[in-house]
Amino acid sequence: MEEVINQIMSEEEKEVQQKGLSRREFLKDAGLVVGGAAVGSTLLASACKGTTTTVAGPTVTTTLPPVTTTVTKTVDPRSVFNVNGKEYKMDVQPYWSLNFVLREQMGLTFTKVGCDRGECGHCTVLIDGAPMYSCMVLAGDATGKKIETAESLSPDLMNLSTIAKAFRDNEAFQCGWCTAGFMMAAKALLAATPKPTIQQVKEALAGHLCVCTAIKEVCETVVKIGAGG
Amino acid sequence: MVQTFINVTQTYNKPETFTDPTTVIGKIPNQLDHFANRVITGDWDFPGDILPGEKLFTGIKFCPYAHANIKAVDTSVAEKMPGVKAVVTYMEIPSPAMPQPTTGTTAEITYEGMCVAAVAATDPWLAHAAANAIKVTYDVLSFVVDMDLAMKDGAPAAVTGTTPNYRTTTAINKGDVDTNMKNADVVIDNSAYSGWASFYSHNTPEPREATAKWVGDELWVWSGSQQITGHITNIAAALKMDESKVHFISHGCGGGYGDRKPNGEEAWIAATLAKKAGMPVNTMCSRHVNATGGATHQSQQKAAIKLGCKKDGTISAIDAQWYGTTGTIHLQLTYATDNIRVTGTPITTNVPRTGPFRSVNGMHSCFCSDQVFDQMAYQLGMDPVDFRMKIAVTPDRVDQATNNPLGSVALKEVLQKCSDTFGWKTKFHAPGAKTLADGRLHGVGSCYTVSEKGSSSPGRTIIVRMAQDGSVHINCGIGAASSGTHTALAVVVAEALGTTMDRTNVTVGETLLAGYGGSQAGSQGTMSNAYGAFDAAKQVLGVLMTNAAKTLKTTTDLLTSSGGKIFLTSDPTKFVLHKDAVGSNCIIGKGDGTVLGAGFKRPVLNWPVGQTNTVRTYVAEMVEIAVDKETGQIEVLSWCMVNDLGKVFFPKGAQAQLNGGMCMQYGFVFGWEQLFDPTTGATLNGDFLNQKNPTSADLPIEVMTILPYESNNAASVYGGLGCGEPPDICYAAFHNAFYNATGKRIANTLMYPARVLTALGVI
Repeated sequence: MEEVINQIMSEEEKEVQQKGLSRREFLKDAGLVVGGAAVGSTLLASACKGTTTTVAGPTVTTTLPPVTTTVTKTVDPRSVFNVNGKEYKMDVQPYWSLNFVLREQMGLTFTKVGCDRGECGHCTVLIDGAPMYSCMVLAGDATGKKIETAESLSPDLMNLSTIAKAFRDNEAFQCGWCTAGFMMAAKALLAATPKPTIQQVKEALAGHLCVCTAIKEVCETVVKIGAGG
Repeated sequence: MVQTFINVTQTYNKPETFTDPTTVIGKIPNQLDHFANRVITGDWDFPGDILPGEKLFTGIKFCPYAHANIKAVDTSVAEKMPGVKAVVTYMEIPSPAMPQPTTGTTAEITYEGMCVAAVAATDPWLAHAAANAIKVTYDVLSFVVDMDLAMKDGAPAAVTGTTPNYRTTTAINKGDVDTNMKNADVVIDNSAYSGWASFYSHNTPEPREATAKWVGDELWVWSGSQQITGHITNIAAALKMDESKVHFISHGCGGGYGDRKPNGEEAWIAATLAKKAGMPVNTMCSRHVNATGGATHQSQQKAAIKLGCKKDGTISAIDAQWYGTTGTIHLQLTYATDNIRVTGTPITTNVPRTGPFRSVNGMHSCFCSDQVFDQMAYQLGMDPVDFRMKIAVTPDRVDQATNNPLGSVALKEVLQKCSDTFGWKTKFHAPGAKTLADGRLHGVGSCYTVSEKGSSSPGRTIIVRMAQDGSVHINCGIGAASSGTHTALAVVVAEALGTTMDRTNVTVGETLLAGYGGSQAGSQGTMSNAYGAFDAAKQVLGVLMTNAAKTLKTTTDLLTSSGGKIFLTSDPTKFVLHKDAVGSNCIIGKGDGTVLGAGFKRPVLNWPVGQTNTVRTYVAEMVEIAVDKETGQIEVLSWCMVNDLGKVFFPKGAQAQLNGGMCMQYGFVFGWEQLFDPTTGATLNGDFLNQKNPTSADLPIEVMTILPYESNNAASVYGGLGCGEPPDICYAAFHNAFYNATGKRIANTLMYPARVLTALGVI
């Protein structure tokens, strides 16, 4: 167990660990199913089989990476995710982040992965309505919950949400990298505070970085949405 | 399908007559902006978005030392670890960003974060675990990450065998500096010490990333770059391939900040691993690697300036020396004097030289010089804005470094507009003369400067194709850092052709489809490609006009093209739709061909053929602050910037660029600072918690007034000058405001509370 987690940790994560913010502690604190040999080499192959899954209702078919390893045991079969109103059923590794599953297993790549360490906000999705950094959420912890990604805001040009339309019309982006995270945080804010002040917007979006930076446009756009503009 | 290809001999110096008022330029709503629509729907792909579920992931083994020799690399354990599909070492990755082999298997590391080896595995966690299992043995060498130390006698060589770490050259020596300096009424001489020190850092959130896939002997690479054709040239040469078999796609680029240039190691690592693994591979640099190796985030420059002036404010002479890890200093483009001498000393340290960013050199140049001129105003007893107006360059002057005309100069105009908008005359006071009711010190500061941009790349190709339905496709082999170039090309072509924006589409960032695109760095995309787009569109229009003239039984000089149709200027009711003019025989309703036009970069209008065609855009800025002398906190009370953009093609996009650049300044002045461990040379804060970008909670967006100024000098197609570079340069306005508030100067870029309190003598 200890050895495996050490392998998974990068050198920089080990540095962070020495400062008291270890991924190991995070995994333990999160109550992840990583006991005993579960995280050992036996679990490392479950995503590597090229599995295809089809579910009823709003149907989504997913195909896991067609790669193989020397390990064969599946540990966490058939996790069920509710993403943007659709049900996804698939195998996930206990150490996979929700961000990885959304992007690489479900193909929902509007959600970006920026820092992969909970600092930039680009991977923000809503989980049961709350904005969360998906890089810091273990996929297994997101099963059974309502997950919303930026794809839900703008499935296509003919069906833009109010937020997506306002971001476009007010040029609330530059390179487009951080846009999905900002829009999802804005959705959470507007749900809780339909007519936010500029100060409320600035506080609500402070967990999102943008180096271009489109922050002025983003904040003013969210205020405009609340004001019905 | 019939295609008509026209290659018109370029007449570079032929003056163009541009339509004014325009019908498309400056009038485009965002709903018609292709780039905006793609971003907002998530259809604007970034490198990691490609091939979801079909690719391997990379773990990078990077060097933790600033300077070392690699003695041995042992990948045997990593190769046997779960999920690992390929392992490569630096010896297999022929990138200039990798450690360069010296003898045998030895290679020299010249900055922290250089990639030594890389692993491709089935998920990122397995890849990182395997990378960590790679054993590397180093000879750790002496290093230097501070430019002052790098210049001292006996300093360690940043690169083995290259000493000293600097070289000094004379950039400009015009007029009689020594005599005129001697005859000046007032001289400020800070040449005895290092003068103003400009240290800036930035920390880009979007990671450097690439995805590579081999299809037979052809290589596809998706990565962020501002010079995609440079990438295929370098990759093909290193891998001994034909360039025609390397396809580089750069859609989502990440703003062009950090290291979006053809030497980023991520594309090479992904390509090499993908070849070895036989599968597509994604290589995303980790946050720490992004903040250190090759990401070129940190830059240092100092200047020693001796300035002499007459009592009336006229400059007698400027004698300037700059030292830095990047730079130059272009005082001659801002301050009017015939007597100027500039020497430069580039310095090499064990920190990567700074790369693409907003006005990389402009920031240093401005900061290192502006406070000297601001101080001179006070010593002359003049209002700093009046003094700036007196010494500002005018369009009739030449660049004394090249003897080329300055051309587009609107320095006095932007200064005046900024002063009027800000209310300078009512806010300015003597240093330390105003205290607010809450006890804080009040100050105002001004600054102005220039940003050079344009193209130094030799050739660019823009292809404009009108399909038989009248729709238009524009293809340009330039990167796609953000909306600017993308949208500007569509706007220019629509205007030139007389079609509507919704009938145009643009492809940029794909070497497979486009010709040579050159570099986008330096916000030169619009400047360098728009003329080519204009020429290509005019070639297409020429065919349409000829065909339409036959149909309307007239001559082309009596026709006008607008709104997707060509009509008799004297009688618009007699017209031919573009789609009907496309066909080779122009039978109404039966157009059966397409028309292609190809345009190439050309120099700025009326410039000699073959000259580097840079243009200058000028910016002025003023800021009002309150300084808490007990806590060292600085509050921005009002902040105004005016930036000459020439003709604005896409107002909302241009405004966003200005706003973004101004927000960046806040990061330079109050936030970003890359810190190094003096004992190892390693970066101490390669993350966002300790080197944070300015956020919405920090930025004083409520008090920011940011205005474009549209000069009308037609320096480029339709008079556009582009934007993106200048708005982050003028942060010396903060330091000048601090002097106005306190009577003290802070000579470093960052003005965090401890530095403020030190300047005030509190600590």
